[in-house]
Amino acid sequence: MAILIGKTDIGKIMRVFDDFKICLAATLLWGLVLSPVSSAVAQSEQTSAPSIESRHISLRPYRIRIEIAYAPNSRLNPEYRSQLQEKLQQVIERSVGEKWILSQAEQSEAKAETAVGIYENDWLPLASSEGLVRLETEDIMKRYPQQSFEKLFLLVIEPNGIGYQVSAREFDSLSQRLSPLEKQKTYEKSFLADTIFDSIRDLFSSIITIENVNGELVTVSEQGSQYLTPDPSVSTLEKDFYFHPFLRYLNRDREVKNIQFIPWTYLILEDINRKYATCSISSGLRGILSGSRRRVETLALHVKPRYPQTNLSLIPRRTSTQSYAGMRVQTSLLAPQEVRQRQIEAKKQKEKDKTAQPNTKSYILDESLTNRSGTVTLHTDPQHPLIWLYVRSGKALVANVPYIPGIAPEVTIQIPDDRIRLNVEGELAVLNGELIEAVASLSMEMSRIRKWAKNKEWKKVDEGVRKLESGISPQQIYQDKLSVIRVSAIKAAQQQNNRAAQSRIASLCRDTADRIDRFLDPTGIIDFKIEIQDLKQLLQ
Amino acid sequence: MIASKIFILHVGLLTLLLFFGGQSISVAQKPTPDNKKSAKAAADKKDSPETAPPEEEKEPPLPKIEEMQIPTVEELLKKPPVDWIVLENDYVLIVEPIYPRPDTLGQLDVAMKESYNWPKPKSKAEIDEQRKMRAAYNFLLLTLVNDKENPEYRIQRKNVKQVIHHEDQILKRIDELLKLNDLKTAFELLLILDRKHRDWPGFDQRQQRLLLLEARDKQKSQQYDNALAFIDDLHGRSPEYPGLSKLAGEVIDVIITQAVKEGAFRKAHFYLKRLSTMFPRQQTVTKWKESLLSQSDTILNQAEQEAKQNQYQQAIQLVSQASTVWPANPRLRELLLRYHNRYPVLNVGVLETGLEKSPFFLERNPTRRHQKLTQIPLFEVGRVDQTPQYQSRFFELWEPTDLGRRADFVLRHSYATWESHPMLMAADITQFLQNKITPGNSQYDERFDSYVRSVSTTAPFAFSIYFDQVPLRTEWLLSLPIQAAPIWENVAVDSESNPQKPERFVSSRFIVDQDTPRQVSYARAVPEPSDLRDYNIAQINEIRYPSFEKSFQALLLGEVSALPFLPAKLVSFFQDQEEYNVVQSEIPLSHVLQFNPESNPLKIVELRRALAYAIDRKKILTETLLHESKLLNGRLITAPYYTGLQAYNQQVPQREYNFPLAVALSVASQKKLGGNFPPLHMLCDPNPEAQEAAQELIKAWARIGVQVTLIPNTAEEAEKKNLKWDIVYRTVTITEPVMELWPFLTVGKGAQIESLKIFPDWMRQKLIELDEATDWETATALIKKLQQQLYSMAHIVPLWEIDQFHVFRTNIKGYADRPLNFYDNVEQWITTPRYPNVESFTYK
Repeated sequence: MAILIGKTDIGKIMRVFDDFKICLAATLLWGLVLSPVSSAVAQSEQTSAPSIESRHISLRPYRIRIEIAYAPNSRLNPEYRSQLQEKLQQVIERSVGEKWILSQAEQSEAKAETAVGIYENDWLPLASSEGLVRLETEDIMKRYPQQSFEKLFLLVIEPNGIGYQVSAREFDSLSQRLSPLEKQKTYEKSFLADTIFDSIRDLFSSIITIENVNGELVTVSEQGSQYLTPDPSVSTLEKDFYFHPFLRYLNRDREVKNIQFIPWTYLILEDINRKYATCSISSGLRGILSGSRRRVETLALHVKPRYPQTNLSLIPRRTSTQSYAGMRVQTSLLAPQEVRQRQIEAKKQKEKDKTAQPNTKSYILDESLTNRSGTVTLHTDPQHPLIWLYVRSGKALVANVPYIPGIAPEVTIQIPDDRIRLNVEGELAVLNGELIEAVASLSMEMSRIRKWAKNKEWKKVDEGVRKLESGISPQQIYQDKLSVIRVSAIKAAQQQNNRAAQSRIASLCRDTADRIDRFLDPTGIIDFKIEIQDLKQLLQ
Repeated sequence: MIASKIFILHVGLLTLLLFFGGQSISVAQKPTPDNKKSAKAAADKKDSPETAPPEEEKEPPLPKIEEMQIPTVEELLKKPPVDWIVLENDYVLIVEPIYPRPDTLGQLDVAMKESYNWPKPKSKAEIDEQRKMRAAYNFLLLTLVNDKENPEYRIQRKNVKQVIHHEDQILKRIDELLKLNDLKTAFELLLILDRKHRDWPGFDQRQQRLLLLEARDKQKSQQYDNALAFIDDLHGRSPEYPGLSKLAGEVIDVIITQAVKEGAFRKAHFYLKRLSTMFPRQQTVTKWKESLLSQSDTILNQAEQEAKQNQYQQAIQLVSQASTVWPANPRLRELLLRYHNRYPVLNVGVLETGLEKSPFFLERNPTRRHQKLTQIPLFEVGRVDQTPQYQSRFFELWEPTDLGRRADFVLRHSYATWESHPMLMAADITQFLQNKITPGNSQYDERFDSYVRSVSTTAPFAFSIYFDQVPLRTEWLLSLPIQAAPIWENVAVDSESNPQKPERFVSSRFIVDQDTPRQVSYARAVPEPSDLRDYNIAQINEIRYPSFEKSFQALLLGEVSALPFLPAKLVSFFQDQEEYNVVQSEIPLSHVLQFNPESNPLKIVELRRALAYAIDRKKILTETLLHESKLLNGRLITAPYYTGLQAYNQQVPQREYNFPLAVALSVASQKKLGGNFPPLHMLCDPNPEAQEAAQELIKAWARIGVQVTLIPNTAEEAEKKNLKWDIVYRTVTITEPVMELWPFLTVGKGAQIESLKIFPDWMRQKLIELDEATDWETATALIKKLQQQLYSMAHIVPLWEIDQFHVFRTNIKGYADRPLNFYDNVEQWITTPRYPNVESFTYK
């Protein structure tokens, strides 16, 4: 059930981060399973393959089906409904032209139930916005097992005071994804057709196919892009449009076996010409789109923030019982590579100018803590729709992915268990504090002996030096303490089979060990003794 | 002494007489130079005026006594002293001071008389000697002030009418000055006279007169206390001095009138007592005694009227008011007893009330006291025996079920008459708890919400709580007061009919009845029924005193009957007194230093450690706070909670005072701060012991070069917005550290996740882990570990814990032997009236 991507694909996506790639990739793969799309997957297996289309996708117009449900108290009679549908068709044809196929004549062989065109909906159990909200992908799939359209718009007209409220949702048959609810109001009956069209225009999300991947750039082609729309604001790609890629796995009979949205990956439209467009990739995974796959279609769906905020929930991976309350989640406009680049530059600048330490947090837009349920709220920003999330646990970065807040009301991300490593961080903080005390104490003792030597109080000097030498080596004491921390933590990490934690603990302890050796080196006492002897000879 | 002095003078005088005796006995024998022998001429004039040489007549005549001007103050002070010899013919010789003095003539006469009692001479030599000596008593030896060449003369006693000494001239001048009301100069001259010659005849009279005039002068300038000081002084010297009684009466009358006008009756009594001690029969004394008695009677009559209408609170207030007006009223005792039994009132002496504004924004003893007196939580800690033991006044029973994920509660249906809270119903609780788990509600509690999923009322007196996360201790989770108005009251009582009624919640115990700058009065939220035989405390007055000494004085005077704060050093004093009972609190008060997480200098761990090592805690505790007390009432601590708790980690070693290390660490932190320490500000609990210790801490830190200033505990500082502080000295009583450590560490920001932002990630996760612990073993292990880490990292500096003591007069009964809080069980306290000790009344 869990892994539907082939082993070779897994191998390709396993290059994630320098120090955390295995965990995160696994996390993301698990996330694929948990994502809402997966529920649609089972249904997709029932769908049969459409007839193979020989035309390039840019020459294939969208096949559109529009269904309008009228609330029982909508005060619209059948004649008016018929007029409304005709008017809507005229508006669409006038604004979109050939890019959308709405006419039944062009789909003569299709069954009327699933044919393109504008129909009155009579199967929605509840003809209201609430009924639309409750609608699931499975309901659509059940209703339309054989789809002869790419887009299905479901609309409900309800009375709203003296006017009407038009609620709408889009169903994309390629991705098998149902869009969020869109609501619009009109106070004039004669504007209903325009209002419906506005809703459809706002809901419409373009589909692109990924033609070629070249490093961070992707060449894509939009469906029906060669058909220009009379109204350029409708169904036309623009720069900085975001697309969420997904994979359609087909069987030998070209039937859709599975549909998989690639998590934490977005395409950003950079350049457009009529047939092809160029996108840049923003992804928490590396190389996820590169390479060719047999019987796999790589498409992408246009996404834009439709909610004011998204609740991001941190969830444990595997059987971990760690609580994710109080985790630090930072947001940034910069990708990790850019951050690293800036940090390197700042470091170089610092070495060059010898100025104060650069503010490494300057790239952070916002920092918040997850609440007691491990959730943090990400607000939509129209200026910067795509942000990078940095989830930190102490000094470790446990997740780093891009996201567009507002494209979904809720989203989850799996986080590895970092408790053991974090405990070590705490223990080392205490040990480092004690180390500072020991160093300060030692230096005070030495300066006191120096003072005695300058005053020629040799008896006290000898006693002081003897005391320094005879005491247990502080270096040994602190190394022993460190060993206890390291061994117990690594053992605990081994029991959890947490290799990342093991290597991180070892690294943390190594740093502290170096510090102990540097500050409490016994040669320091020997040098000090020689210094005192020299001083004694000089003064005597 | 005087006799020996006279004897010496006599010997000296006789010696002089002998010295000059060989030349002449009857007249001055010295040559008479024409320019200066006016004196001689004057002296001889009486004997043989016709023999005076003609050139002498040209000399200016000697002044007559009538012509003599009293020397001015300047002359008296700057010129050499001179005496005036007034001759029989009223001429005056101005001479250098003559001896013996004072009363030279009198002394010579006495000496002459005594000479006839001398023993009979045995030889001729003795006869001659006695004769010579006796003859000397007939002469005065003088030195003329204007005769430079040969100024010394002697003059026959019989020619001298009077000697006016220099001191007498001073007295004359003083008299003149007193007439002119130049009291200051007169006083100065009196001082000089006293210095020149103590007990000069006439000195006392002038001094007494001066005192009277001074008193009058002060009376005129309305400086009545000063006037009274002069009157007191004069009364001490001469109680019957004419006009003194009248003046004292006038002055004290004004003072008493003013005091009565201001309602300061204790002041009036004090002055009245002062006057009656001096002049018992003074008219003012009688007048005021009658007036005050009458006023007191009027108030008592009003009290009786109120009592007739069952307004006992007003009645007892009036009686206590009457006792303030005139405590010696004979009707007082009976009425006080009658109304006090019906409406017992307790006066408690405090240093700060819970409603006062203070820059110290954290919980402190007065606020804790106020909270405990005004609210009853659903569960409260009854006693502490390694772990807190809870009790509840509201629940009949409660039972965890569904593996702890649900708890069913049954409330009590009826209450005892002494209980002071309103009827609590299940709907009151569920509605309040519902608000606590509803995000966006003003009472929303993030922590509570994380435990509780829902609350439901199952019957009027039963409800259930469903948990999301099983709390470590349900009692602690519900140790909160239900701060909501009783629902049944909203239905039964028209709230608009009594809009002035103070806010009363279902969990109210006592409510604030009156809040004045001097005192806060608390009355029962629900009064006791009117048909009882014995009544428990109905009202508590917390009377504020500016210092512990004043509150201590008030306890001794009977103005208050209990003190919630008693310094450890005074425990033995009260334990020895039969009139008082000293009660030790169940858990001590822990004193802790905390650092502001937003203070940049204190983010440096070396500086925090330096501050910790610089304090000699043992010395401050024993010398400053316990005063070498042998009672062992204090202990050093390593955590901000009671050392007797199970959660306290006894294995954490105490940080020993290490001055060299503190210096080294401060130098290291100074380097990190760029070379110098910014001045730090410390906020301190107003507790007197804490304030005293804070001064010692500041001195200790100054020795390592860290300057810390104490933020004064004033209302002005309390008004300041964005008060800047770096260190806070807190006193805390934590009974459930597992749950209370988090809000303690966040310094007033509560147990919100957001409040943990200030801590490093590892500590934040530890605190969350502790909060989410579901078994005691894990929780105890976690908190012990945390204690060690917090102490080691010097995030907090626990100082010491000091046992708390409360003192009660023996007329109060019913308090707990080891109370957790001062007002534990206060509804059941019984107090008998204590008649004010009239004789001990003094002015405060």
